[in-house]
Formats: sequence, C-alpha cells, structure tokens
Amino acid sequence: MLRPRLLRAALPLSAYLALAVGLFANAWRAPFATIVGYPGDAFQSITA
Amino acid sequence: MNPLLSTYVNHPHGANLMWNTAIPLVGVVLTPLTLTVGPVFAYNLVMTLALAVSAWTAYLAIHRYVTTAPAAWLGGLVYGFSPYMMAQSLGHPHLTIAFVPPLILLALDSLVIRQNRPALFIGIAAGALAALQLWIGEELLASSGLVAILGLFILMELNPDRVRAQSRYALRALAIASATFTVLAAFPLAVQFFGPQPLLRSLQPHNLYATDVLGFFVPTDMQQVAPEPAVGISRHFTGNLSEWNGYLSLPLIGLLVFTAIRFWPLKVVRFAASLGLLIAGLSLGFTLRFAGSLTAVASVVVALPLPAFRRVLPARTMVLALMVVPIALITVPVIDNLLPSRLMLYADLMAGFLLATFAQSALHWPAVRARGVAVCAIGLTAIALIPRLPYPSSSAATPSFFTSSSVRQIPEGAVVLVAPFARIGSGDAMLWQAMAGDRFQMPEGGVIADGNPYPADPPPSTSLNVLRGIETGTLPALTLTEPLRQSLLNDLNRWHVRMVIVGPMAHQELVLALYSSVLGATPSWQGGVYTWTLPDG
Repeated sequence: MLRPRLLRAALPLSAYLALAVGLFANAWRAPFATIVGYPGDAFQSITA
Repeated sequence: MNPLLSTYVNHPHGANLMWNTAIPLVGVVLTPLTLTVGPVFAYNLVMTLALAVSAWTAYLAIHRYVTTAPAAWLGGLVYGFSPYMMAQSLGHPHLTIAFVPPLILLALDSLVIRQNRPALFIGIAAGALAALQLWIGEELLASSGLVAILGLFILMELNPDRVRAQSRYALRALAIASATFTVLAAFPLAVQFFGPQPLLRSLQPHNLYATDVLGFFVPTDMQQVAPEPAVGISRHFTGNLSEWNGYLSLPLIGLLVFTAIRFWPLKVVRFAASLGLLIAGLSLGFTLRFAGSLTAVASVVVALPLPAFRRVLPARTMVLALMVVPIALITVPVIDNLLPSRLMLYADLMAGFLLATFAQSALHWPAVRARGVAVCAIGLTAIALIPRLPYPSSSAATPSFFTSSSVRQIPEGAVVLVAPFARIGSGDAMLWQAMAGDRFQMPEGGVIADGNPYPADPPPSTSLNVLRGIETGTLPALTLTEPLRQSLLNDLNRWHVRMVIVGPMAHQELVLALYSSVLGATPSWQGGVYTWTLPDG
C-alpha cells in the first residue's frame, strides 16, 4: 500500500529532477570545475 | 563558538550571517558532501535540487485540489521552473530553494479550510515549516508570511459566511504555530537582532527591483524564445537580469484569463486568480515603470478598476493591499528589504494552480477539437516559458595552490590577503578560500556587514581601493608614494596578515609590481599563484 503511494509521489519528482539536470547540463558536464550561473560575478555580464 | 557569526570574511569585524544569505541549514545538511567532493559540486547539487524539489512540493500542493496527476505536474512545473526561478538561479540559492512555501500553503489549507486534523498537529507543523524556512532563508519566510496574510484576508472576503465557524480552530492552531516557531527560531532571531552587527537600515535601494509593466509580456535573456526586439526592451528594465522575475508570457496570460473566467465558480480558481493578480500588482513596486523608464505614477493606480468588480473579486482586500503594502515595502524597517519583483514567485504558484485546473478540465472535454486547441495552448505556453539553453554556467577554476598540500604553508586560521580583492561582483577569492577548506581568514569578502557600504563592499581601506582600482582598470598608472606604501602596510599590520596571495586576475602584473615594492621582496610562484609570506606579528 505504502510502496505504490511512494512511487506515485516519487515519479513526478524524478521527472522534475531529470529536467533540472538537463537544464544545468553545462555545469554537470564538469561538476567539480563549472558552476551553475554566475555566483559572485556581475549578473549584468550575461547580457553583454 | 556561534555558527551564525564568522570572521572568515571581512576579518576582523566578521559578519552576522543572519543578515546575509548563508542558507545555514542547507550548509549543515550538505557538510559531508562539501567536505568530501568539494563546494562546487555541492553548490551545483543545491541549485539543481532547488528547482526539482520546489516544483515537486508545488505539485503536492496543487494535487490536493487538482486530482489529475499530469495536470498537477504541469502546475508544479510552472512554479519550479518559472522565469523567477530561472533568473534567480544565476546566483541566488536562498531564493530558489523554495520548496517550503507550497508546504506552508498546504499547512494553511489544513489550518484554515479543512480543519480535519487536531489543531495541535497542524499548528506544530505550520510553526515548524516557518522555522525550517527561516533556517534556509529568511527572505522567503518574510514574503511567505506577507502572502499568507493577504491570502487569509482574500479567503475571508470570498467566504464571509464561514469566518465565524472556522476562526476558533484556526486561531488555536495559529497560536500553537506561533509558539512552535518562537521556540525553533529564537536562537537565530536573537543572533540577528540582538547579536553583533544588527543591520536595521535598509540594505537594498528602494523602488528599483520591481516588475516593469511590460515585464509580464516581454521575455528577457533568460528565455529561449526571446526575439531581439523583445530583449531590446527588457534589457532596459530597472534592476538586473536576475531580478527581472515578472515574465509570464502572452500564451500563459491568455490561459490564466480564460481559466479564471471559465472556472470562476470553483473556489480554488477564485482564490488563486485573486491572490495571483494581487501579487502581480504588488510586484510593480511603489511607482510604475514602463519599458525601463521609471514614472512618477504610483502603482496603486492599478487598483482603480477593482471596485467595479467588487461583486466577483475580493476588491476591498486587494485595494487596501495595493495601497498599504507598497508603502510598507519602502518604509517599514526589515520589511523594506523585500524586493517587489521577487514576490512573483507566489504569483507563479497561483498560475500553477490555474494552469493545472485548466489542464485537468480540458483533458475531459468531450469535443476532440476543443481538446486539441487546449493541448496547443498548453504547448504554446510551454514553448514561451522554455528557459535559455544552454543555461549559463561559469568556470570555477581554482589555482592548485588552494587545493593541494601547498595551502598548508598557511597556519590554520591565519589571515591572508588575496587578490583579486573579494567583494560583491568579484568572488574568486571567496571560491578559492572555500576550495581550500576554509584554511584561512580574509579581510575581504562580498558580505553584508555593519559599516560596509552598499553594495556590500568590505569596509573602506586603502587595499580595497587600490586593488579594486587596478583590477577594474581605473588605476592604470599608479605611483607608489611613501604615504601610499605606509597605508598599504598599515592594512596588512592591522589585519595581522600572514600571507599575501595574488591569483589570476585582470592587470595581475600591476598588482605584483605594487606588492613587490610595498613588501620589498619578490614573490614566490607556486601552484598558479604568487605569494609573499609575512612574519608573525
């Protein structure tokens, strides 16, 4: 009873997680040396 | 030792982390991972999980009302992968770890509407969730509280006949929630308001970070479908790219309007549409801005048409909120640090409820053609909201000095001056410090602290001025006079600096020449950086 409920709850989370990893694929290609976004940098630089 | 105070940046003054965006609970939970695989991996994991888990809790909240799981999933997607999330993911984890607000909504739903569990249980759960959000990030707690109050008033105006019957249970549970929160939040709040460096001044410029009137319709650089003429407009919006959070897109706005009109009899639609509309209005800030031009027109003018709809909309609450909240956001201490543009997170959650309601209903429409149109509309919305791909990332390259045994030359906890001098907009030194396992303290850092001028520069010093000037090119031909040399030496002495490190940076050769003259010695080259070791004391 509990397992199907857990599975039903975990399935949407897995789908979101797959999307998030795909979205940040640039960072995940080298996750120890590349970082998501521009933390610590001037955000405006992205528009330059 | 207080974990919410640190002198590892901004040494020796340090910083009160409760006035910063330190996400302390997330940091503690991830400590084993950070220590084993490093802070960059841990950061990437946080940013990724932030989107997925936030979308998931939104799904859970929406699924309570929208029973068709795929429809609720779409609603969660609108929240967890919203333009707000995409823009803030550029560097604000304290704003994208947003899985608690949908859970607070669920708790409030149980507390105010359903009331089918013991008040003690619901009260403790609501209070614990609020405390959990405080330990993750206080800003979202404050904005969640604001939105919760607005939501309660909207609910009362929409259902006046139920207020008396529901209020006794709700007040009891709220009292329990308040007590629970007080117990769990007493320590961090005491550190924040009664500890060192309480910052009761406003830390953000007023009326700058707010949604442009065109911001709901015009995509920014963070959307994949962003025609050049459109981004030509959005690039002029006030604030910056990470704060342009208002985009909903024309297809989604069309769907929301259709859903609100078509399904108005549904209470969840009335509530979500009213609250979403109100939040969008509040995100406009104190005065309106149009295509990047700040006008003198108070944003409360958007409330003018509302009384005409008072038979269907909770107009009294909405008008009052649009009159009072924008003023509070620029005048009430502490609250005046809330940025109006960031309120769009909650409008996105309400949009998720409405989109899910539409999708659930459309799936059951008998006419195939109508279902086809609905699917096309949802598809168009999805296309309009696709984030910029590939999503921006940046190099976290770290000189091997900081990640090898070389760093052990620095006595544990000693003070090190690192160039480029860390401040907001230049975080390399802070990254290297983290990669070195926080081996050393620094007199620099991009932190908000008492005495630091906005935007969170380290305290004024000759070293800051000179190193920043050289790095940014505003001091291309610096002459080292004796007073300047003495001033730079004084900085090193009063900070008790044991090592000066110059890493890869713009105009590195000028910094090397400067400190060679100041210290009267040539630096050692090791592990990708130049170092000078200074005598103790």
